[in-house]
Amino acid sequence: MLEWQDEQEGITVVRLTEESLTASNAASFRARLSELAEGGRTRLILDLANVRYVDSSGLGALVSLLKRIGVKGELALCAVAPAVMSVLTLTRMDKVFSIYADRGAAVEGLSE
Amino acid sequence: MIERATRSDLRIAIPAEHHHVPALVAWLDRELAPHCPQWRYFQVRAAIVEAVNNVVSHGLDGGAPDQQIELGLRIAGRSVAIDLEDRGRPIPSDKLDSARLPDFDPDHIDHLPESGFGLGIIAAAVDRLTYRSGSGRNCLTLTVALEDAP
Repeated sequence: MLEWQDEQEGITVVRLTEESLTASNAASFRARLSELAEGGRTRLILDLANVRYVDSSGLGALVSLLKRIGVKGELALCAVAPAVMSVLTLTRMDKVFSIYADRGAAVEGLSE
Repeated sequence: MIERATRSDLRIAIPAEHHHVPALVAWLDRELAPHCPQWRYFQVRAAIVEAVNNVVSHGLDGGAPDQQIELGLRIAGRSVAIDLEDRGRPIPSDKLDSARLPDFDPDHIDHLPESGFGLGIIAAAVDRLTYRSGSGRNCLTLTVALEDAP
């Protein structure tokens, strides 16, 4: 469900290959991302281009990852679909996450 | 997955398990989305997904493949009513009455909530929410106006 690619300056871009982040897959997503973070990848960009919708479990997994990375790293989202953005806005999580239009903008943003 | 339609009503039934939710989402994309402004549709779809998840996770202890969750759409003029029927444990009335999104300070990451969004999303996304329970059957009705984007 995840593919990742190491970029410059310790940044890793993680692409979700499934079209939703929900109660069905949030636990495995959380576990896999935690492994990456504990393995030292703490400057993460989540590329959500394939994700058509998230539910509260998916949202919780994103927040959990953000808290796990905490101040020792960075987490950004990119290529967020309108339906996903709608949930982030409704829950005010759009004020919490750094959100970029696409992967290039996110890499540039975290590199500054 | 079972679909049936009668005049202005559209109905679907899915097995009460999380992995059947994508089929419901696909059906909503086909049957409900054309009637709604996009911003409204995404919020309503999120509310329906949360309502189904709530039945599966809390009403049926994680899922019951032998049970069905039925969803009906009643589209009339500029509003739509969504009926969600199940035979799981009812939602406690105090939880529905107090349903709201968690409050938090976006600058305090350590204190961000990781759960408790489900019923709040439902309450925030719709204009009216009613719930009836009796004879082993529950029906959650979500009503939304289909006005243009604010």
